[in-house]
Amino acid sequence: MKLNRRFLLRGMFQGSAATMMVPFLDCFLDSKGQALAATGQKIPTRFNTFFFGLGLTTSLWVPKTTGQNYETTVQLKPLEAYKKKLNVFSGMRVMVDDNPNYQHWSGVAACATGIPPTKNAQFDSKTIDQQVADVIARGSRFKSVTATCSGDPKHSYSSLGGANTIPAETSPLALYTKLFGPGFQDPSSSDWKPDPQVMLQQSVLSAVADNRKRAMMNLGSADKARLDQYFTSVRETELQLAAELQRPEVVAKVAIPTAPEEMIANYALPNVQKITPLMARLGAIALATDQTRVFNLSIAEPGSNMYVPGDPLGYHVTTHMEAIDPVLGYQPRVSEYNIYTMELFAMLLKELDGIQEGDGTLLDHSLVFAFSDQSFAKTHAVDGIPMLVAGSASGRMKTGFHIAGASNPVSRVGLTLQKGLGMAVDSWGAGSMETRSAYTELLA
Amino acid sequence: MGMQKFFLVSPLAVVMIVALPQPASAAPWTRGYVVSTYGFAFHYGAKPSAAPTDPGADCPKGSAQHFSDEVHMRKALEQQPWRSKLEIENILRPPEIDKARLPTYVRFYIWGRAVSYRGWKKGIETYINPFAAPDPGQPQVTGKISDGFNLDGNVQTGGFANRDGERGIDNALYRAWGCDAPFRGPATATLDLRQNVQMQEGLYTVVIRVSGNKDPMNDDNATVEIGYSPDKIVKDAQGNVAPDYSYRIVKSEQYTKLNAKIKNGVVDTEQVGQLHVPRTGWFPRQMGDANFRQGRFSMKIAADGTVSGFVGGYRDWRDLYIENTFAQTGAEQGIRDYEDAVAMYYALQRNADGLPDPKTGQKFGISMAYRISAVPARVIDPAKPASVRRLDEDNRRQKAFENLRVTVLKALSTKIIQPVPPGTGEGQFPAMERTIADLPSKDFFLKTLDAPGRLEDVDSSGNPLEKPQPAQKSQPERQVNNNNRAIVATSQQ
Repeated sequence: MKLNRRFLLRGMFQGSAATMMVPFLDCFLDSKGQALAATGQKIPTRFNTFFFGLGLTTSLWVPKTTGQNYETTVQLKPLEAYKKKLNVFSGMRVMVDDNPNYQHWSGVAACATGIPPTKNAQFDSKTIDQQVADVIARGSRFKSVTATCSGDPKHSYSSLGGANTIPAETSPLALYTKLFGPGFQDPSSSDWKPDPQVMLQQSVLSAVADNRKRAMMNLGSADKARLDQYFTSVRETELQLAAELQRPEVVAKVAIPTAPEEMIANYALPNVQKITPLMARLGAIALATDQTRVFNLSIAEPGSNMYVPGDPLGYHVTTHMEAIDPVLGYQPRVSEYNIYTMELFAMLLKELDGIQEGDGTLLDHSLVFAFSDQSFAKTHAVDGIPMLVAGSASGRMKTGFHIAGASNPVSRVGLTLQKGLGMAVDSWGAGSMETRSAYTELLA
Repeated sequence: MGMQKFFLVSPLAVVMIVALPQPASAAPWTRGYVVSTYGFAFHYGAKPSAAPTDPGADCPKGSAQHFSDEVHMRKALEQQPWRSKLEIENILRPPEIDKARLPTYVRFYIWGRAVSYRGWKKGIETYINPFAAPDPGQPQVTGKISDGFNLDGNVQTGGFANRDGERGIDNALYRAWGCDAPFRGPATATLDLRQNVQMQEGLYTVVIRVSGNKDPMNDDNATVEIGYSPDKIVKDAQGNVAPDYSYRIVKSEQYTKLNAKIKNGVVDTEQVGQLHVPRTGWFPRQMGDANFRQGRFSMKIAADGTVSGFVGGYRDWRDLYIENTFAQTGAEQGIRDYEDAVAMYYALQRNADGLPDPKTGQKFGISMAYRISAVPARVIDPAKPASVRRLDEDNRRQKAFENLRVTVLKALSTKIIQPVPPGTGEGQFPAMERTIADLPSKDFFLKTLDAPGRLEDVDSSGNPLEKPQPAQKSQPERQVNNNNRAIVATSQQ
């Protein structure tokens, strides 16, 4: 029997049907374990974002030394297992320029776009995940997938610009259904075939496309620009459909799980702690099976309303109400919530790092960008917003560093990420945050 | 040899030159500064390591703790005899709250609605009509040390001495509000911290320009100018306000030019009838004129070129009440920051020490000062008329704030109960209704904690919903209009 990478193991798992793709065996790979031997195609690099509201406590999360081998701080302790696969950026500044500091928003938008927002609750450009998806997501079924752990589809920080965001999936079942429900064809299945519905849509678009040149004639420049914009979006749809007509490249050792049960998704920490690893696992499997190459996960909204049952205030209100302990120098209860958010981030990293892929793990073939809305939530400060980047982008990003930003713009991190992903981008951001200066010391 | 002799002699010559009295130079000079910290001149009298509730020389019982827990909340609710025991218990612990999606906010807004209506009868919004509620009691400063000025020239009044031993310091606002939690303490004063963070991050910029014709450290005929700048504060790589950047000064309502004397680096201005300077704040709607009566300014130039000092005078305490209470809503800020604006209203009234009404004698002024620190900057006149940029949405909020202000002033002057005007979320309406929508016991609160007179169809800010209007050309965005005077409450209103 000839064994190839589409070989499937089928069987029963806890009474349910399960499909197991075979491990990414050495025989599928080239001699370096970095590409498919048959096609020479590189294992794709993936991109993740992780949003957590209300920042961290500066005195408890910023390492005292920079570079490698820094001493792990109290609030980075949950990420200790991934320290060597993580870069920590402290002291990064959000420059709002001639705009207000929109409380709980300026930080989010600046980290996600490199641009200080000119309007509250609006992005002034595509968010970084969408900019990345434009480049790396072609060939996957979903351009990007977004999920949240607190049950509200509005808790998405993925946007094509403006006030609209790409709605987040709000429960593991919803995310599962999107990824592996109707329309999903196991890419390793022997009877995989293009979806007739998709073929029909593509043919309609092709007919429209044939008339492009004719439609563009005899139009004014404004209309031409408008129509050109329209055709660009048509073209993107065409590519998306074309991708769906191709059998996805699957390179990981993963099992498609059975559908999870519907769960209570709200702000209660125990529920968030139950949902986050499931969301993370589904997202990781989606990345590993090339359903998407961009996965966004948020805990909640910027002014996070997460709460520990019995705490009448919850996270956000506590950041404002709790006094700074004069002896400790920080807000004790807030610092506990900070740690919970880092534990949730660790859950995502665990899932990504748990999937073996060629010479490393899915995390090694990814970049994970974690960011927040505030540095010191009590005063809505945005200077020193915590930013963390995990994964080495298939070896293009050096890891294990603490970079002290010294008030450099947050956009430097975004630019570094894009360069790490191999994107041809010279500068990123706008206004005072426009930068051409990536952290080149991190780029391999 | 000649060079050696020169170096041996020259240090002595330098010493002699420095030691000799210098003739006053006639050359004009100018020094500029950008304000880096700005806030109430409240002297903190406890140890830096003291907890907010620890006693201090300023506040023997520590900071006020209004609404901080169920004990304090119960105390506030039991002041209304018309509340039933069941109502109080349900407010304190809303039944089945754990079944709501957002229990923390369910409680927050139910408490908010409850403390917004504490009048002598049901249905009176008490932040707009604070006189309709009994005085909850505000702990006051009992210490004897205060920053600020001797505004009335009388060492027997005021009751404070400053840290240099000068007696007769008038800072009645400190006595009234100095124990208020969000303004007390170097590390725990949430609103003091917030207003400085927001100023440094661009909410507003205040600049000072000092000029004269003699010596910048000793000049008996100097001039001090204070005003807004349209330019945002520039920070250095460490996040501190960077020195020596250029800022334009806007000669708007909040611009003041004063005569001053400088002696050994201490700048003291004349005392003037009206002193217009930008007031502090942490939201755009709070921006505007402090409008000190009998105002003074003083600052000391440090060896490193930075300055620290005070600007003060008598302010209409009703303005202070409105600016602080309605930064968000009275209840939101109150519950979040352990502050009871009704108690602060009575404290203001009790401590008023200036601007007596000519007819009634009632004092509408309260002595106070802002503490200022500033770093050197180049303060320049704009090449063409300039104003501080302000967003359209801020103008809308400012308009709503002005409506609210007019309503409150009317209530305070007539003692006739005023309804909540549109455009404000005062009374936590419709915030409470929307937040408790999934609370199983919501009907109890909708019935018991009604907000009478509130419109049904309003947006989240309390504005009546309007039909969409055709798009209009955007108006110039201005924070300060050079041509119109700011509306400022006066004792005649």
